[in-house]
Amino acid sequence: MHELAMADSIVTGVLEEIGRRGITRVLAVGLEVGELMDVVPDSLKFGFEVAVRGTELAGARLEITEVPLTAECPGCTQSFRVEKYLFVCPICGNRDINVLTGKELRVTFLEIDDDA
Amino acid sequence: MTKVQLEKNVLSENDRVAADIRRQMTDHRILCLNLVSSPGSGKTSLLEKTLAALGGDLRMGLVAGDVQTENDADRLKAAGGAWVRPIVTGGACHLDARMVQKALSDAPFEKLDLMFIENVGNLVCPSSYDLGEDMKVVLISTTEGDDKPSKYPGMFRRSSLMIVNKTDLMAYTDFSRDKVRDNALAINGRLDILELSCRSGDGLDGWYDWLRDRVRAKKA
Repeated sequence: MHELAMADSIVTGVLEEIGRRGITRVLAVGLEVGELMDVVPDSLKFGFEVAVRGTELAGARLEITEVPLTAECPGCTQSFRVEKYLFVCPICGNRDINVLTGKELRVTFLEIDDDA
Repeated sequence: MTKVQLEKNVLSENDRVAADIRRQMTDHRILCLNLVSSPGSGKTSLLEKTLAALGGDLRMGLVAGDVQTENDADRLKAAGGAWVRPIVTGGACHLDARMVQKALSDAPFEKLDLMFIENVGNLVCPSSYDLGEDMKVVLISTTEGDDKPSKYPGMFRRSSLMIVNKTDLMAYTDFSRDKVRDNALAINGRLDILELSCRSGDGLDGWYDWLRDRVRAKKA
């Protein structure tokens, strides 16, 4: 259940950010979560609901975009979707491949209320 | 309603502290390993054996994480010779960089060659938290089944070495050394693999050689 600790880090980071920018009311927080991060979106949303209580983010939604796992083969320079966590190039069978996407855990946008 | 675009890594604070730890270890040429496994795979037993066998050879430090109790740290202090500190997470399922930094606050960096971080027994949560280590070492034991890598790919992808422990019990289980190897290498083609038994002592020399080589490389 590391989602609760992650939710806490999200809230701390966003509170810092809105303080810096002078934003007072946030409607939604957009988050990209890579497939390799072992995050359960529902658990993270639950953690977020708990973590925002009593803060300026109370009531804000967490909008999660899941980022699929992709990789590139240095041998044949093909990029591909990694299926079922098999980190093997589907073209040449190379196992020494580089992950391109799937390790994300970042806040990508804030939806703010202009009338507040 | 306005959308403000951002690019803010959630674990940036953890990663910043981890980078500090990594710099400190590298400045002192200390090899730092983060040991991860399920509960009961034998992390503490492996460390006990290692401290006893290499104590005259390498100067070792160790921080041992547990959800409750300092039992592991106590066992490791009893193994003698090493600098040992416990981290009791009080419920948290993983160590983060700040906990490790706090535990390391009085570490004798100038007198160490090798630092072990024994993580909380858990193959999911510790995988996303960088602790400033050079490498993650993942342990599994033959009694857990040979599909562990396929079930917890994130951890095996991020590890540099997989140790298969309890080989003395392999005959009593359905564990297949070929299957675990195939499963692990399909997730991480760069993974080193060692087999050993802390109980019988088989294969421990291979682990000690692996450690000595990596310590030497860090010092070079």
